[in-house]
Amino acid sequence: MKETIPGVFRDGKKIFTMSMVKGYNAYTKSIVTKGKAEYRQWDPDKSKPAAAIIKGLKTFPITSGSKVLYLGAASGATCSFFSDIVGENGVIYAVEISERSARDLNVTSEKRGNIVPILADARKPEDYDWVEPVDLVFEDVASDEQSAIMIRNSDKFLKPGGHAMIAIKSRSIDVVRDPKQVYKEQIAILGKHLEIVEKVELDPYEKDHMFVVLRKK
Amino acid sequence: MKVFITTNMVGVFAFDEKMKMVHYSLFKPVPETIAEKLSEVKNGELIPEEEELIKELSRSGYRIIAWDKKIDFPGIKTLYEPDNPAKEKLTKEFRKLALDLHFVKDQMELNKLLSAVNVQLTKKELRKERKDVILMRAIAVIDELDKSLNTMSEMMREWYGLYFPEAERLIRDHEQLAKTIHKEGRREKVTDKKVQKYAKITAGMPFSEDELNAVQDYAKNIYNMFKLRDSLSLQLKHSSREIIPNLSAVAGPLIACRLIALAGGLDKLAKLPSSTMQLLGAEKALFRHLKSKEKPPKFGVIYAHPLIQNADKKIRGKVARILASKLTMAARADFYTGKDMSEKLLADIDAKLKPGKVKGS
Repeated sequence: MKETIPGVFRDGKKIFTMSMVKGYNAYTKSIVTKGKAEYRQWDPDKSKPAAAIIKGLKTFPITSGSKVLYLGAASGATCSFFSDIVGENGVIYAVEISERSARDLNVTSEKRGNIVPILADARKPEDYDWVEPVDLVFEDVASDEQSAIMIRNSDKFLKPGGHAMIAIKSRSIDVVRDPKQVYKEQIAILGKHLEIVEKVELDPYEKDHMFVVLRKK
Repeated sequence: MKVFITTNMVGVFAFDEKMKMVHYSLFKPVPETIAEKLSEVKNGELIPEEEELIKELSRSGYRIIAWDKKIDFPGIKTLYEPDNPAKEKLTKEFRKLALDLHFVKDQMELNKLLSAVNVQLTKKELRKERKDVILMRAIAVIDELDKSLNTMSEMMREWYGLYFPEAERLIRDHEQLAKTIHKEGRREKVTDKKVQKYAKITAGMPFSEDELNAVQDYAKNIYNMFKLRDSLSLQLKHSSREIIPNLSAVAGPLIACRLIALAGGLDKLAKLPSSTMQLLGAEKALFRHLKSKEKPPKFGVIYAHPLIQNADKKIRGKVARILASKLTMAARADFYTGKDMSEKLLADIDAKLKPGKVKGS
């Protein structure tokens, strides 16, 4: 088990995070114990950042103590790994619009203590304007307004020099057009407001998805 | 002197025009209490801490208050300024303040409290009554029962048909056949007049007692599922007449609920354009059309509506468009006013569909 990226451990082809809450086995395939530490396997088939890391992403700007705004948290699966990485000194503001998902997200948050569940629409950042400035904005929302959502939220909440990560879903933006073209167009939109740092296609873990890391100028 | 008042999970704070904190009142660091206060504040209500703070400020000689509420106060001027600089300052500096004022002992504790407060707030939000969600669940069960009952009944037919093929052929209704097998079963006992005479001259094979019992057991369960399906849909009809009077009158309760389920809630359905309403449930055909040169679909789940079913094939598309436009109005009436205006909607549809008015192309 080697720490290849701060907070992310690698063992062969598998990646892990160090459990913040021991014995917490939700959302993971397996828990591995080494000495006193416990590691949760982070499945690239179920989590886009994990897929991006396995596909060779170099910039992964979340570390211990980070403050993260997570848009589209769903039931909190990926959130739980971010929560491991940022630890008790960090915090994840998890925005989710669906009440059904929020029910599960709430349970995850209650168990972990560093996830702040917010039942709101990521298209309307003014509804959660009490959120403090953050180090990272991560967006995984299935909407044709993906890029606009990212721009609005990073304008409002991201610290200068802070990073943003987005999983562009080509099919949510336009099912018909060639994904390559959609990526290009979306990156151009994002590039006007944020600096493009790195991009990785998530195939075969997620079809027609591109993972992009950005930075606020 | 003007002062800005703003509230967050730590407490209520007053800043002067130079953004210096002049007064404050901390909440008790208990998640349930803070969540309660914050949701009151969000609803625009005045909480005791704010009232206290204002009295305090008034005694200190402040005469103008700017905040995000539209509440008047005797003896003091209040300005409605939701995006005031104090709010921004508090958002940015709440961690430092929370520690400086000994609200919590460290960042870790603050994070835990922040999480716990919002867990409570989300819970509160989830507890709110949503009648349309109940309808959505019920219609999902009914539609699934229909699908399963169909396959299960087909299998029952094949099975019992080995023993008494004439009964299987002559009793066309699944529910009726399930009842006959369950209550009568044995050929000689079947009371149906059309079938009776075949009991002795059947082309079916003999079944042992056990074999017959098995198929009867199976039929009994199917029969009970039919009864369950009926009682559920009756219940759905009653509740949808109350919850969505307009939609259920124009679309019929089942289609109305399917539309809500497809849109993901009455609120969302009410915001759809009628062209989308017309095609809800036909997404597959629609995207096939968009991707290739195939013809566009004319209707989604509203296809099952009697007006479309009874319309001439040539004008079905147009009928669907007229129906969808009135359904859109019905959904909006149900969501925004709750008033029953279904009579007018139905009369409008009648007028538009007068014989000869809609022409086929």
